[in-house]
Amino acid sequence: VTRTRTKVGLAILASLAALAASCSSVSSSTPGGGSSGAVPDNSGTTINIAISPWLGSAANVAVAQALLQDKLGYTVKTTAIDEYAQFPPLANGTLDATLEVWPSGHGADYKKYIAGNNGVIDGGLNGVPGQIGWWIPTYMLNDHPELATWEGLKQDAELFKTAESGNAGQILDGAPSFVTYDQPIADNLGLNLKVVYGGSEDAELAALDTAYQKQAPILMYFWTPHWAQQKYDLTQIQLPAVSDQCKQIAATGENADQYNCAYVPDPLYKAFNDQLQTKAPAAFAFLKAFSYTAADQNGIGLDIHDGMKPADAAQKWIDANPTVWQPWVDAGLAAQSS
Amino acid sequence: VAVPVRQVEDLGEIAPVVHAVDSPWRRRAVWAGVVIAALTLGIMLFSGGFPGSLTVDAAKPFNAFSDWVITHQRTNPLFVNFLVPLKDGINAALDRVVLQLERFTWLGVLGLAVAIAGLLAGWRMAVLTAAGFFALGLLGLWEESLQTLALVLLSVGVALAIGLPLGILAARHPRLESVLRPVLDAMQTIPAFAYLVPLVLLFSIGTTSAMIATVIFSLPPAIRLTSLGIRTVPETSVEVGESFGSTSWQVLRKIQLPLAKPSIMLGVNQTIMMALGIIVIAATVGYPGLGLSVYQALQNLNVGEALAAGLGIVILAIVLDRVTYAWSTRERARRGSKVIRVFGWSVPRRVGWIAAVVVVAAAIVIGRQVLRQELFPTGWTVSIAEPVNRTVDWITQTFGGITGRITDVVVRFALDPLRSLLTGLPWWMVAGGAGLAAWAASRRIGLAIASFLLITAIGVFGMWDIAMDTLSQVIVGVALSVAIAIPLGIWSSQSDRVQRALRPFLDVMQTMPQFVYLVPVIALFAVGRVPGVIAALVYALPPCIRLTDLGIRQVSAEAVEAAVAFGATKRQVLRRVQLPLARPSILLGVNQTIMMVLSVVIIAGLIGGGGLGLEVLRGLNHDPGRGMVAGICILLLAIVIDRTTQAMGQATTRSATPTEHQVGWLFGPSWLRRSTVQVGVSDVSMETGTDTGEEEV
Repeated sequence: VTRTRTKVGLAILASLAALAASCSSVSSSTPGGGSSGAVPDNSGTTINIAISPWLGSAANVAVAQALLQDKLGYTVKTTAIDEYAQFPPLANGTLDATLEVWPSGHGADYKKYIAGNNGVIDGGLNGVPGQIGWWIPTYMLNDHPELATWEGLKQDAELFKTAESGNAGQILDGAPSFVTYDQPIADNLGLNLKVVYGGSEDAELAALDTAYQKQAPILMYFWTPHWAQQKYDLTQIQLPAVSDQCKQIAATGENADQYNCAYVPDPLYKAFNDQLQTKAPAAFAFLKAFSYTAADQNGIGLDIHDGMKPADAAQKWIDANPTVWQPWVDAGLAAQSS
Repeated sequence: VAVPVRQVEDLGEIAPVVHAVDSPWRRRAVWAGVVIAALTLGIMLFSGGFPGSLTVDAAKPFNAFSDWVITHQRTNPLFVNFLVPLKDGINAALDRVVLQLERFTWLGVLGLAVAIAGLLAGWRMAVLTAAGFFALGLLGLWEESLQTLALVLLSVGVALAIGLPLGILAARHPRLESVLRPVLDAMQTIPAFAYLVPLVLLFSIGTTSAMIATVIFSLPPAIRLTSLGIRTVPETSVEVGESFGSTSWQVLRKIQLPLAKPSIMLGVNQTIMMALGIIVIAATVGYPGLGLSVYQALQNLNVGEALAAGLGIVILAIVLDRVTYAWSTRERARRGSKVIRVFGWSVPRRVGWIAAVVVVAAAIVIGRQVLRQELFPTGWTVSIAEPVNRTVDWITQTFGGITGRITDVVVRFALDPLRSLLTGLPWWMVAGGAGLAAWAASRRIGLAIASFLLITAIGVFGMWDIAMDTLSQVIVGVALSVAIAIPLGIWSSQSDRVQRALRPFLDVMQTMPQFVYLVPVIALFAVGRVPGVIAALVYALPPCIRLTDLGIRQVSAEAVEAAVAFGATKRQVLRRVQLPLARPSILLGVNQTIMMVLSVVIIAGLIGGGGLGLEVLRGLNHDPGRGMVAGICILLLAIVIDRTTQAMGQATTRSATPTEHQVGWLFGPSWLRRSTVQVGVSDVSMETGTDTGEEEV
């Protein structure tokens, strides 16, 4: 008897659930309708964009998300995901797009997925020129002007000694997932330096902030564009010019231990799933046209860093820069109507 | 006080112990001299490390596999017809569940949770559930909690669907058991980071990969405790069934399963706890929820946020744990009863059901029509992140100098010398040392040879220096952790007050996900190996404290009384009677400590810890094959250390089977029993249960 009753009770619960499900949604987020012309209804199509774990990426995605929703009527989903895990889902369509790939870190992926025609296409540059390098706070040059180039570093390596690096100087790296040739560069140039991983971009920044307050020596793997470049006065140490061999290594990821020059410039590019154009022509055309400057990205990044929500920071930039994004939207609308 | 004559016999129990403590100093000194001489000769006469000519490129097959997947995943029928639809189906199903829960509105979900807890586990649990869910809302973690809860319930369901039948089979076929055991060890020892790459390749990112990673990690206790439960059913009960002509299916259903139920339910409960513990990993393959909040806070160095999200996981753990536990005990008590008790009143079951349905319906209707809030109202939330962060800032500024000096000391006088020693010795000496230690602990030549070979394999895989770096961190972490835990455990065993005061801290410490430990230590100790070692030693304290306490408290009262009768002081009783007799339990605690320190030292690769953990993490991005190989090396290291230290505990007394009472105590009385099942206790009981599992490693 008890068992039957349990079943009846479950049935009631289940039907209740069904009842509640059949009601319409209470608060559906309605697109905030732009003033310029009609917004096409693409809400049945969801565009899934990857957010990499750094603020520049968050800035790109927040801008693209707001415009895709408000001006082109798409539903946009974002996925916070480490860099390493982006190409496989891009290839099979779980992700539709990523808006910032650093080429130096993904030579092998480019070869396999994009050049090898395995589901991912090159979406063009996002307009921001990236550059990885070795940086020191500029105040260090007062006492050690020779640190402007790597030759000076040869005699000054001891300045950067820490408990963790032992007898060698420490060069502080970020997340283990960032691409780095720091140890081979140091070894091949005869610099007495040892790479220590901070673990994340923010761990590096925390170390930089501490050093900056004490005006203490610090040598770190860093890059531009980055909002911190505006907050702190940093100088890039000049490494030997990029050779063909280094270009080759950066492009393929092979023989990394022979790398011995500066990092190759990183023109940041976008990558899409190869079905995106069929699935969402307007979104494809929009994302393909998406391109702005390092200053644009740094501004949004700094706002987010200072506590603004990514969506608000993006909206602030959108309100101030219609001339930059209008062409992207127009490209999208043109693709929509054709 | 007159001493009963009987106690004189008990001296037999104490005498050899007292003897053993007194005499062997000279022998130990000789041994120490021999070891030091051997180490010195080893460093001076032979070149250190592992020769490159003996290594093989084990990463190749993994990378070849990944390349094959990349080029074939869109055409191969395995992917097109099976893996991709499977993945899409699971993803869509779970998305729908979360969406549905949000449609119920927050009040509706609260009502539903309360009703389920009330019907399954009684009204006290319903109140606890309400408080827990409300707290999640107040902490601003509502949506994240729903996502996490959905993933945990799905994963646990899958884990039980696989684990219970396998556990039953394993109990009946010792051969299967002995095959399963190393596999289960591997599932819990290889850091999840190592198998994320193949998972992402096969199932892409999102729910499916997150679920599989969670299942892999949380499955072992379900299998182990089911098997243990069935094997410990008294043989006479089974024989009675058979003598009445029952088929083996009937014996299983009517006798073995019901009698094994407490153990099986403990397995269910453990599976849930493990799943919650690994939830942060799910974030790294793109599943949102509490895990993602912890992970992002870790990357942003936001201690407050990480702690808040960690607290959310603890709350979920407490609710799930208590409800499942109460459910399992109530089931037995109320069989056949038609009434349920609410705060002391007896209420007909039917009324309880109707009340539950009414509560849920009312909650959904009010939520949708009156409040019109799908998610918990943001105006009510309380941020604990701010005050926590302010406190941490203050601590960092006040104690920054001291922690800096601690870091220096630990690196200069412990980590660096030890690493230099391990990498400076010739490889065969280190591997031989591991073999000798295994032999000394177990007196089994098979284990000794296996230890030697497994350590050698690390070198063959080209990970020698990196593994020695990890090993040096583990040794330092374990030494410090044990140095804190054993005195605390002794103190706790001498005073009920201390034990009571420690318990809540230990319980919460055992529920916090490992990742949460990493955050405050970076704030205090910056980056490098030291913060990892410190996080590891703190994380590993609870089981060692508990097992030391338990071991001492279990020393028979007669033995203590006998010593007292012979005029021993309290100190002498402790040193010469209680501690020696508690040795197996304390060594089991040390074993636990080692495995837990190892697990944190590995994830400390995220905060500059280097070693094998860093290799696995780098592998994710740049060289998946090498990441997998590093993961396997971690497993090899873990197996050798685990088997050797376990053998140490068992060599003294072969009867280390914990009673149900002990198991209950270890894991806390009714809640938050984690981690000990992970490696230790269940293994010990399995070994004594069937001796067949002992021959292989």
